[in-house]
Amino acid sequence: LIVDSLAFAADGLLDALDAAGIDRAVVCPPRARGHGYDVENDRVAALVAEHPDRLVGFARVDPLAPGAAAELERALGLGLRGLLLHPFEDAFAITDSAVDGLIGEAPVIVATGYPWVSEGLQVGELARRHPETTVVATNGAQINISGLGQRDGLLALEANANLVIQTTGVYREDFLEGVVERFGPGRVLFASAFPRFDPRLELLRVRWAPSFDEPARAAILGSNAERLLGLG
Amino acid sequence: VLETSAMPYPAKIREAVDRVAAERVLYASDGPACSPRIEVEKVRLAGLDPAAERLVLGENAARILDAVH
Repeated sequence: LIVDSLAFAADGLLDALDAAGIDRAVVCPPRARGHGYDVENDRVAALVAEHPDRLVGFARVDPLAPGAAAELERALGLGLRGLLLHPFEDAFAITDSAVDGLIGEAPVIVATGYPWVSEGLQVGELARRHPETTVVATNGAQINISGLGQRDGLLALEANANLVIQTTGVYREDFLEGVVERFGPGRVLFASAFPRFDPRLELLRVRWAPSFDEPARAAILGSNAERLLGLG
Repeated sequence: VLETSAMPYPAKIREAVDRVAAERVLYASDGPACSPRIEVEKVRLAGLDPAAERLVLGENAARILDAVH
């Protein structure tokens, strides 16, 4: 079973999943332009309703927008199963107190690695404040410019057992292997962030990592997401 | 010329070939930090025509290096 733990609702999503041999995906709203996230959350809910065997939906809100908490509650009521926060695109710091009011039982994916707003240690701070919530950091908890930010990602993982990382775009595959060696395979989730990255290539970071054994590969590719993101 | 290493976008390789020229794009891995095996596959996933792929994966580098005496 292969689960893409982050994809965006964009044209060609199902075809891209099929081309890569991906069974299921967490689908999230892209950046809302010209309207609020209620529109995007409704679109995701409709897309999931069309493909309930393939897609699990996550909601997205702008924490600084009026009514963010109410919109999240409404979206979760539509059957969406978690929350995506994108501090860079929506212009807020992940450590802003407004974010805290949105965090509950639902898992939270944070677009991570953006300077000033969602650096690895900032996302670690969110995880520290909410130890009962699964916090998922995209991009290996960094934007990978040949490894800049790796140390902060490792520090955040070490300090917060509820923090996990996604493999999106992490072309330093040795970093992914080091995380598994140090923290175990349960802290890493395969994700493509389609359409930003190519799912066919992103899968290879897990499939071809020399040090992953088959149980680790299976966990990263699917069972971790099922367990941590409530996809079962 | 551009080289392909250490960025996660096959589509950008294709864009470089289309906009700049297949003769000005070189495969590179930045190994061992990045996996050379995956970096090669990244070029293949760019969907280049066979002649352009040959240039990017080897012929361009060979031409440049052969010019060094």
